[in-house]
Amino acid sequence: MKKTHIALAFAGALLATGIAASANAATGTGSFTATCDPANYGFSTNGVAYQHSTKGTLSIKQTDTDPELTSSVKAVSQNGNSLSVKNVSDGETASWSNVLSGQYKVYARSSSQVNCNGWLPGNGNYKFEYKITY
Amino acid sequence: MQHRRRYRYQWVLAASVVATMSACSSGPDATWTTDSPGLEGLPHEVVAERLADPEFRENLDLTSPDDQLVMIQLQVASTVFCRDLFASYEKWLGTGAAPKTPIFLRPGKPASGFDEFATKWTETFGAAVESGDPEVLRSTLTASGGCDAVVVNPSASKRTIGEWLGAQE
Repeated sequence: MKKTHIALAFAGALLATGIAASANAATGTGSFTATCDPANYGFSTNGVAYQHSTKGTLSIKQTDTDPELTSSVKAVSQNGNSLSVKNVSDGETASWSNVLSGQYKVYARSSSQVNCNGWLPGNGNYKFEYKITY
Repeated sequence: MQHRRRYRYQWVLAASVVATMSACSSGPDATWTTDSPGLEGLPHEVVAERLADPEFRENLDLTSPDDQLVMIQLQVASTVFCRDLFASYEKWLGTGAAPKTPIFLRPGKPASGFDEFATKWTETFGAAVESGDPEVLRSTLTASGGCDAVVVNPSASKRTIGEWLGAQE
């Protein structure tokens, strides 16, 4: 009986911790146009800054791209410090642990040269949609 | 007639794409040097070092011209702050005496957003120092987006604070 109570209390504590953790993490969504030609053009951003309030995990999920491709993504702080570049495809999440609190903007571009432009000159751009948890 | 219209449409489309690409490829408006206005009061050698860093330079060039000055001010001041803090941490381990939180360097004319960032960093790292536990400071020093990628001593090696403290992602 005592063991059951301890197990229930432990499970309750775990649940409470989970709720607290999820309550602390904010989310946001956004989209912007980025280059399909990473050899010649840099990262793009929509300029939206997300306030990562407490030291911990920050993640960016690539929810959709048009045309569909793999992106290189990173987040940049106000002082120009970067979180390392990670590659993600649709439905995948780039995650950074132990991220210092601060304001971060989302940056992306195609991870490789892709012709997103059809018969038109250059490789063109694509639409990058994301969900950020911060 | 229909052919002409189609060709005209294609040319207009192609011209607008080229114009868009030109707009995207335009570089930053400002050419920054150690003597640029707004950088007074910051150590020239650190300004030069940070402006020469390819990763920081890329992030600076991707930033709107209006936000570039505060980014440079914060980059230089936070680099100095991180090095001072790392030195304090090492001294703490060596002597056992808890250090004081270093002062966050302030330029002569801080741009908008500078003071808020400086206050936040001073509070965050100050709390780690005041915890009385060097391990808490070590964890904060190795946090991504903070001091982890700061080179400890650029005249000696490229080793960063994160590498020095054995941080692993």
